[in-house]
Amino acid sequence: MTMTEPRDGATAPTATEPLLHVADLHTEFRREQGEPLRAVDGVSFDIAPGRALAIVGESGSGKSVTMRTVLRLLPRTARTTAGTARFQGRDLLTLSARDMRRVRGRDIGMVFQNAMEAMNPTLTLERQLTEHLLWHGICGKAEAKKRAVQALADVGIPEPERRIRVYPFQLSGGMRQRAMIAMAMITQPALLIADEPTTAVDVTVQRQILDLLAGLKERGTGIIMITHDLGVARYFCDDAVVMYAGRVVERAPTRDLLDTPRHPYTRGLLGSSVEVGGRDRPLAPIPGSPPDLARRPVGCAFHPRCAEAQLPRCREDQELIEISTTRAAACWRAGDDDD
Amino acid sequence: MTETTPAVTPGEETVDAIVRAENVTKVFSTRAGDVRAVDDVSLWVARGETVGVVGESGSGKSTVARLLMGLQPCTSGRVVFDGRDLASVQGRELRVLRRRMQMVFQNPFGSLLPHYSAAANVMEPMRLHGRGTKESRRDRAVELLDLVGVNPRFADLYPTQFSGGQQQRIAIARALALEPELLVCDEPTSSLDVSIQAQILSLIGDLQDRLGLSCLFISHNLAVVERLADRVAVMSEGRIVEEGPAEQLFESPQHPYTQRLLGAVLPVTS
Amino acid sequence: MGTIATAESLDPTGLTTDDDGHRDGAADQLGTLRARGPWAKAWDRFRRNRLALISLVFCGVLVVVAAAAPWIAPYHYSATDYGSQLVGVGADGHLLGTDQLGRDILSRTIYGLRTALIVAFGAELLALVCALAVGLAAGYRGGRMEQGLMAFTDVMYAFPSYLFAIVMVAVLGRSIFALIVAIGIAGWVTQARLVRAQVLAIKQREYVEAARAMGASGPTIAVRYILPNAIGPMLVTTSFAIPAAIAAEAGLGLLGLGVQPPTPSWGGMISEGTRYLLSAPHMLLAPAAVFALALLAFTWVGDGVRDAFDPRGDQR
Repeated sequence: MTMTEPRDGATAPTATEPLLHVADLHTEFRREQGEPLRAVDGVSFDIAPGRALAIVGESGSGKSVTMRTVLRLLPRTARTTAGTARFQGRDLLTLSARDMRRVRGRDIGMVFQNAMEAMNPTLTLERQLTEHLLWHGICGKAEAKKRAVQALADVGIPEPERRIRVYPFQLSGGMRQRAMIAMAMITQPALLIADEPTTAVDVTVQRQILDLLAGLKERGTGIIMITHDLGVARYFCDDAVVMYAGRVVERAPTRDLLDTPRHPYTRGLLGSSVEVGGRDRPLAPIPGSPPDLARRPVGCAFHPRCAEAQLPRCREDQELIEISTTRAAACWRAGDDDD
Repeated sequence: MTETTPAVTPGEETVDAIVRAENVTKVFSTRAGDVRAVDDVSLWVARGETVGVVGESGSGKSTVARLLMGLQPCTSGRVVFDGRDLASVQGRELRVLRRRMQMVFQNPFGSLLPHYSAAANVMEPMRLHGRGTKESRRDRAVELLDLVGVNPRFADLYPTQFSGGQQQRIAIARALALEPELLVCDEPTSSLDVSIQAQILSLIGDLQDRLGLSCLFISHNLAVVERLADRVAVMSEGRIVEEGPAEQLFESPQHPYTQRLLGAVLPVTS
Repeated sequence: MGTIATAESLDPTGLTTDDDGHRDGAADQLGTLRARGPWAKAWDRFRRNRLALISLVFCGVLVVVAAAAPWIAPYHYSATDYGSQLVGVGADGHLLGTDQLGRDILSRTIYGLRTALIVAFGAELLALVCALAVGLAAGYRGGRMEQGLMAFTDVMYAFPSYLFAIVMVAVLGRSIFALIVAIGIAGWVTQARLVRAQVLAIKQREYVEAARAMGASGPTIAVRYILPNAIGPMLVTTSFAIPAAIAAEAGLGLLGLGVQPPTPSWGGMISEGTRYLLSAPHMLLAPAAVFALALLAFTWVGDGVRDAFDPRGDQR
């Protein structure tokens, strides 16, 4: 059932307890009129230590809301109506606010798309980096500073002793992104959640940041990466879940997912992606746009855009169908061999 | 303008260029001192050709687009549109010239007038240039919306009522309203989702074929530029470091920077 | 949050399935789609705010009453009923009693309302026009013109507005026109600075650059593209400025600088009322109560307008 099993049975341990086990998560957004919007609608996934999971989807697919639900960082209008998020033996969704604060930033680190917005512009890097350690009572001031310098050095920021005294806006975009990763990693969290960490940076920097994160993975950190970039998912993530309109439509080891996609939406995403060297391959865009959650199509939310849709089967709700021990897709035809 | 000898690339003089930038430099004065956003760039777009400009953020590629459009004056060098130096035309005359070059921006929502309906947005350039009557403008707008794949039944909705991809289609329809000879696209798909980006790229490719547009296409996305451009210029720190036919440039990049850029691309398929 | 904002936006050509299960271009969405521009959306949001809506209705009633004062008021404001001076509430023929000269308080309150609204609306209209002209010119043109205009508004800003109004009334005399000019001129400066800030912000928006790329001229851009988008926030400040102007008019009246008696103003009535506070409290009561209610209602309308134009209100 878990998707953390090794692909070819070679390296990873066979029966790992998942680091984070998310099951049947439901989050709604209240609206002034009408039914609440079901932004996350029955999402489940697991992640094991030392593995990276990609959550792939377009805007409005619920990928960011899923992670905010797990971290309990939802806006006031949102409500989690069901589900569990077991992390190190505890359900994050039922923890007290105080315990949750202890988990955030210490046991679970967070990296955001835009470091400029995620960092406090009025504090130096030193303050921001050491604050985490001091808040959580991990060490004293002198030790905290030493670790902060080390953390900046670890993410490849040159002259960390000098740079630690600057403000975020004095760094270049790539450096800022690294500093944010340093901030997320300084408490050595077991899990790192990265929300589009490379979307705002240039391609050459993207590679460096991903390699930096790969180093953390090797040291046993579990990483969840929210991304819309299939190239990033393939390069960095062991496993992937594809989300559409608040639901998981496919999950698989990333390579399998991209080489032999089983859900029509995943195929559509692949047909839509432009690649260097792919000039002669005609684009096969998905028609239409992702659905407005307030008017979610009945049954499979993708079926109105799906070239392979067959009615009335597609108007029924589609459960995730296990195709193999590591793969599942929410399409009634996903099990067909001829796909 | 000072007399400059353009750095002549073989064959350039014989090319029938719709727009040509000759050794243009743009310096922005900021509190922190002068910034050379564009540094001695020469670039031309031949009629019916699509030229791609790739570069990372801060490479000056968007500034090049604005200089070619005459939206900003060059600090030195000159931009010649159909044989006329943009710096020498002013006011009304420049606006008339502008009608022949149109632009599509990165952020479709930001570039559409929020208080005008989709049809009114498309009609606006025609109104500004006194084309036709109100009725004929509307007919044309509806036609254009249909051309770019926006259902004409929704012509009276406002920009906020459309999704990002639809907004970009409307912006493209607006850019086509005056039948421009040159279309400048500044990162037209980078704020859009993957599946929508593909739709817009298909649309632009389709329009190039059908209307025979000359096009300057600015993007940070190498794959996007490769797909649409006949010729590509790679920019870094305000300079063009490499330029050549798209196929050649992507297959055997010469400049180390181009090689680095291409090397950093993460493939999706194996 | 981004995800929710996109959930709000419709995609008219998003393909949907109709009841027969056929793929069709948005057939079932057509019925629910209406063109909603920024103004219509603001009105939609305003309408949902019940307090603001009730206040708006109340303000509407006030305006109608003020406009129809000569027909509604039982007496002329200066008509004196000798023999029934200072009679209390509910007296024969005088619903709210009379003042020390035997004038009908109800009638005087209604005419006082008329004065207050004429002055408030007039002053704000004047302020708005001045503010838009100066702010738009300064913000759009920039350069020397902006420096000059803004230096001028800074000087005006530094001048205490009440003092300014008092000086204006002293110079122009105690007429309604003088009050409009005094309060209007005292109020436009803040608004002009706001317009300028708005214009500067809107100038950065891509659609202004897009307009230039289309070949629009400077004045066209300022009037057709920038002005309509700056007017929403202006409406917000104006709707808050109206109760302030009502209060200013009453305040000047209280100081004895209001309209020339016998034309009634609430300030003047309240001022007179305090002199008979112990013997005839009703003289104070009626104008003070209507004054308070009017202020409250206009302020609540202002609240509603502010929320209606607040872009964050879009993300429910």
